[in-house]
Amino acid sequence: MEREKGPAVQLLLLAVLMSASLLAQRPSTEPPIVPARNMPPLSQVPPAGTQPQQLEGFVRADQLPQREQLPAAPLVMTAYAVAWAVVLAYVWSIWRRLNRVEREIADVSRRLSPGARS
Amino acid sequence: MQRLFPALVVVTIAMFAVAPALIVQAPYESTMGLVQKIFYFHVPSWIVMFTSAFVCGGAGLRYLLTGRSAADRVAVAAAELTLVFGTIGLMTGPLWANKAWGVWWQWDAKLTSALVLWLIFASYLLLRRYGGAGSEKLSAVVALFGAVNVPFVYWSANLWRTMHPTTNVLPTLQPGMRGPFWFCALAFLLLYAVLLTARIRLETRRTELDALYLAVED
Repeated sequence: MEREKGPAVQLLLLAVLMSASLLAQRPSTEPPIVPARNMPPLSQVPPAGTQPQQLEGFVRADQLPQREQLPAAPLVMTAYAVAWAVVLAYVWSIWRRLNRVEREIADVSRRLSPGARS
Repeated sequence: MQRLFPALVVVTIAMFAVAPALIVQAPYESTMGLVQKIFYFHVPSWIVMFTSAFVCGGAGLRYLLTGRSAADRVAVAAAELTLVFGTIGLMTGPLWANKAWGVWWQWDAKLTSALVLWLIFASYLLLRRYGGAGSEKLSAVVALFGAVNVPFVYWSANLWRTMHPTTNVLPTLQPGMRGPFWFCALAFLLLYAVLLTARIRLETRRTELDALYLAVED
């Protein structure tokens, strides 16, 4: 019987320690008190139980407040810049390739000319 | 065509110089506002891409039927331009979508099929570059496949539910927007003609260079 007491006491101690640690970690049920800023005066606070005003239907994109709209001008300018950049890069690429081929043609033609062969 | 080329270049440059003024004066679309102005470059770039895909497919078919190297040269030039104008469409579209839909990209039928079309012509050019001897015929089949795919891309917005507008937009365009739009479309088509002529010339000169190298070896 004495032998059985040892593990039982150890288990009891373990249970007490675990409970204590859990209690220590449990958050407080009370919300933290934060100093209110820009809070409306009590006279303007709607009485308890009333709902905030609901939106009826959709709001047109152009009637949204400025902070909710993406600025369109940078997107439009980027689109036109991208189009021009792609076209100009391609024109430059054709011009470079054509120049290289023309140079090679001139070089090979020179080698083929009768004077160069003799 | 070579004699007309300088005049074509001048007209194209003049049209692109006038286009911004017309776009600015065009009325604002009621719901999208300023961002809708991307439309005047975005849609013409797709019109040209589809035209170029048809040119490439037609030239590929002609090469398969007749074996004429001139048709193959046209196909190569058109495939490259399909990719160039497709790139413009694929890059300007997301900029518009970001404002209009709130997302850069949507994996819907229209956008995905357009990307697949672009990838088909990218694979055509990769095949031409790394396919080795005899890749002309195989790539001509790829070009044909790409051209057949164009109507599916065009009507995909009507056939499946997508965020992209249907093909009904152009026929119902406001009169104030119709003029600037078709002006820009014509400018893009002229630009395509200029670039295609220059690119075909490059391909022709390359063929001449190959012939010269063969003559040197002989």
